[in-house]
Amino acid sequence: MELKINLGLIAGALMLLLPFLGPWWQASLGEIARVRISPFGYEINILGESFSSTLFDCLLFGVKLSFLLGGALLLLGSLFPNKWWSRRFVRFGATKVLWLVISLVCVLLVAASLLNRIVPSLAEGKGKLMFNLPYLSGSSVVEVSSQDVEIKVPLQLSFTWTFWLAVVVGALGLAARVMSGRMKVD
Amino acid sequence: MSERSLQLVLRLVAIFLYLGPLLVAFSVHKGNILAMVVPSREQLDRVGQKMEDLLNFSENVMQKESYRLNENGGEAVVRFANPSPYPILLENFTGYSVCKEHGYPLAWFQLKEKVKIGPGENGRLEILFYPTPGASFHVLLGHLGFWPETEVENGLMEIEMLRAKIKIRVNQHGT
Repeated sequence: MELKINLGLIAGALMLLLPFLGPWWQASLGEIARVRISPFGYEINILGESFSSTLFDCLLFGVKLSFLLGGALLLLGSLFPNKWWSRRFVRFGATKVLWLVISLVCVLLVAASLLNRIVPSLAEGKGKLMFNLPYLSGSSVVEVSSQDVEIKVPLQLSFTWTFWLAVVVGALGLAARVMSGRMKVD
Repeated sequence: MSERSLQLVLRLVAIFLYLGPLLVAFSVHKGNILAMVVPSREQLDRVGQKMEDLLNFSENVMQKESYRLNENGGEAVVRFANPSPYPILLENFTGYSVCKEHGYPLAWFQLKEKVKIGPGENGRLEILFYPTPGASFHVLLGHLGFWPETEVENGLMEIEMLRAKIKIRVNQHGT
């Protein structure tokens, strides 16, 4: 019983922190372009110019609000495990992190797959382009060459420590949810 | 309130939290989905301009300040104007200096040392020449011992900019 409450408490508290701990994943193309994303925000910077999209801004703001609510309810549900609403609160918040982790990984896999197909075709007839985007994390070199110019730019992709913290929080949340099924209700 | 009602309320709240901000986005752009998704035209234009400026190397980028080449080798100082808005590191500049009249390779050249040039600034490149084995013979027979005018052949300039390695082939006439 003690373990169950603590897991929910820890997961809930960390859920309230996660949206403010920065990006979960980042990519850089030399110093030409940089992308940093998390389920709560994104930063796309090309040659010092930041890009934004109202749709994504609003969508991710909604995710952030929903996530914070989930974290607060998980915390409450874990603090008062014997209340009639406890189980519902825990269930509402417990798996949110895990779904966000899975969603982010899926989005990155789909994006890498699409870019690896689309980008090389953009250079057809204009020169030679070697583009091999690593899946999820890793490094490679983008090569562009024409008759007189050859450009090689390092490409680096990596998860940040925040992502791995989210994975841990997701596991804690899942454990809290599994245990909430065995709670006794007043 | 029953547990079932609470579950329903929580679901509705979750849906509202996702849909609410999306509706705000719709209302801000008056239903223009493309404007909601794509960054503004100004942002795209600014980046487009920066991309164009990135490698805008015209023929005025390099200007010869001094030049000396004879049977013992030689050296040249070239003023290099960085046309880009970013600092560049000139790592090497190699190639052959060939007889302008006959195209005979007289010397192989390379950059003496790497040169870092700030955005929009000028840098001085010191280039060292090493005569080819047949250079003196060609000058003696073809030009009566007077070293002729030369031009660059198979020139290769290696630049680092924004952590990108750039190789530019140079075949400049009238060096």
